[in-house]
Amino acid sequence: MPFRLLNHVEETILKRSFSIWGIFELYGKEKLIIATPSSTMDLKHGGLKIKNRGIQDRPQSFGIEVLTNVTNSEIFQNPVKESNRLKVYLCSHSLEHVNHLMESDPVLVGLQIGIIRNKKFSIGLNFAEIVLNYHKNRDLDFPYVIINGKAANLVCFGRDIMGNSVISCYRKIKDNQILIILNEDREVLGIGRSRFAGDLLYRPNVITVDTIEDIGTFYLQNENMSIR
Amino acid sequence: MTEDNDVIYPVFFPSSEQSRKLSNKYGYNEWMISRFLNYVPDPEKLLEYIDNKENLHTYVRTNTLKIDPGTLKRRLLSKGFRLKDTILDEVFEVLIPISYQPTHEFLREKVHYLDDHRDVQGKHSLSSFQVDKNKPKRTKLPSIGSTIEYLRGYYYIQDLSSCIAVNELNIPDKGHLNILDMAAAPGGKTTYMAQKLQNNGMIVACESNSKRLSSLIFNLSRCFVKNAAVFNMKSEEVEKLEIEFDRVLLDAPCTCEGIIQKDTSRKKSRTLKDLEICSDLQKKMIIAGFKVLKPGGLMVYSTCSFAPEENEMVIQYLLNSFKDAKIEPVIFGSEGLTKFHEYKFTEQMHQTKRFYPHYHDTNGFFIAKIRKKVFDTSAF
Repeated sequence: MPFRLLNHVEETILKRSFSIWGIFELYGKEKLIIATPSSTMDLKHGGLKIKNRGIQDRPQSFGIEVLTNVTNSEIFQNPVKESNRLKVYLCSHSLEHVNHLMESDPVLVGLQIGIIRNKKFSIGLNFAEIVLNYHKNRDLDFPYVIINGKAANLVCFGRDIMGNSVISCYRKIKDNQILIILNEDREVLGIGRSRFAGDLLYRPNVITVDTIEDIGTFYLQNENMSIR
Repeated sequence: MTEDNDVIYPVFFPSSEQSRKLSNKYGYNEWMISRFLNYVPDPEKLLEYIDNKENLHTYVRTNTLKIDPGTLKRRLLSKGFRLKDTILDEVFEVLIPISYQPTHEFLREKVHYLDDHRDVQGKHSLSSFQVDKNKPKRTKLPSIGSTIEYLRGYYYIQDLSSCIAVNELNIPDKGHLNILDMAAAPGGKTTYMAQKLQNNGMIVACESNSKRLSSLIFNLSRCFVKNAAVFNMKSEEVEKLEIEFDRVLLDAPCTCEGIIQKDTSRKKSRTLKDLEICSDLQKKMIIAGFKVLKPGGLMVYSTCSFAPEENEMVIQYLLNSFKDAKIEPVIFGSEGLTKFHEYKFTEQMHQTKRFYPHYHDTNGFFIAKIRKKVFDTSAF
């Protein structure tokens, strides 16, 4: 079955993540479901072929498993690797007939918020958005970095962040930690990984945060393709 | 046509001196011009209007799932964009930069009149002018499709006519409705419906072309839509899902005569055979959509084409097939045709609406609204 409800292990993993990001209260308020890799393989006549480069590079952002240059036989020979990636979707509770819809071989149900791989949950941009919405009128009590306008424009198209561009950040940040990149209006621009801990993120003239996902790369790559 | 479904179409009109002249002047297939002369009002004005790139209009629709229209407007104005209100609160027209001085007489006249909050086209005008007059003049602006606001899903670039089609679905705020979108990619109307529902209810989005799925999925994600399920299936087969819907939107695949201004290749690339193929497909789709509509439910049928074979004839085909189908009035636009060539349509066909670029400053578009009566659901 392409989409299914969470099992106990996945529930535990997600509850932990919701807690880490300070939104445990939201857990269970909306339905979470899982898309298994096999679902995307048999999408249409043996494999979804998407030519969009932006999606190919970061398929998890778009709720699609893209199997570039991989034949179905190769996938079946190596099922363990693929089965490690489970995409997590959030649906409105009012989405009626969810169970019925899941049985009808959908391509997508709800909003993808991240993936579970090796029993770890990797957040997506929509999850970051939920975290931000929850903290709208509260202190930002989760790993984040706020950057200036010039850097914001660059980050939107995949550039990493220099220490000079950091306006503020979560004080308890550790090195190699996943964080949410925000602009001065506290809006999500991307997801990054810290190279340093705490105040070292302000170190001038060095990259202190690697951008691992951003809101603009899809468009840039699309545009480049059209130019080519 | 009202009594007999077996009509001969598409209708071919013989060439004339005028059609030859216009075809040579504007670079169209002559058969298209011959047809335009028979069902487009002021066809020469239309061709002249379309030919002028300065008449291209860009509209943005606020994604109220992420931001309110007032805040978005302030943000875009502060970046130097000039916005004009439209008949829909959440839709703005993005105007040419202030430093740009139109040379075309029609455009000059338009800006002048709109500044006075008067209609250029009289009854046809759908919008009124609003700009931040304190903004300094700027010559260079980012593209409206590359701002951070756009990337964050605060707005969707969508023609006003498309927005009106969704608006005609009469979706109540936070309504818990089941809605079917029969040809969903790239997701403009789907995301608009989701915001009308405020992520409540359910949207089933069908798209038969797997190459177009990526754009649909991306836009649903960008606009933060949580209540949609996407199916890669032919919408003619939607009955297989065994779900009945309160609303059905069929923005049917068409010959796209109405967007020639944006894609000039369509002046030559379409044939009469394409028109026939589209019309056949549209009939299949509208029947399938109507079958899964709940009694009392509402269906909106739209195309971005002027061709009666893709519009009034398809609606008439539905009315002939189901006695519980009833046309309801669409508010905006010019009246639909009640006759075309030798065909006569039901009198209620005038309640469907047509949008012409040279009258309404939108794409060429057609919208029909059909209610499924409660008392009887059988086809005859």
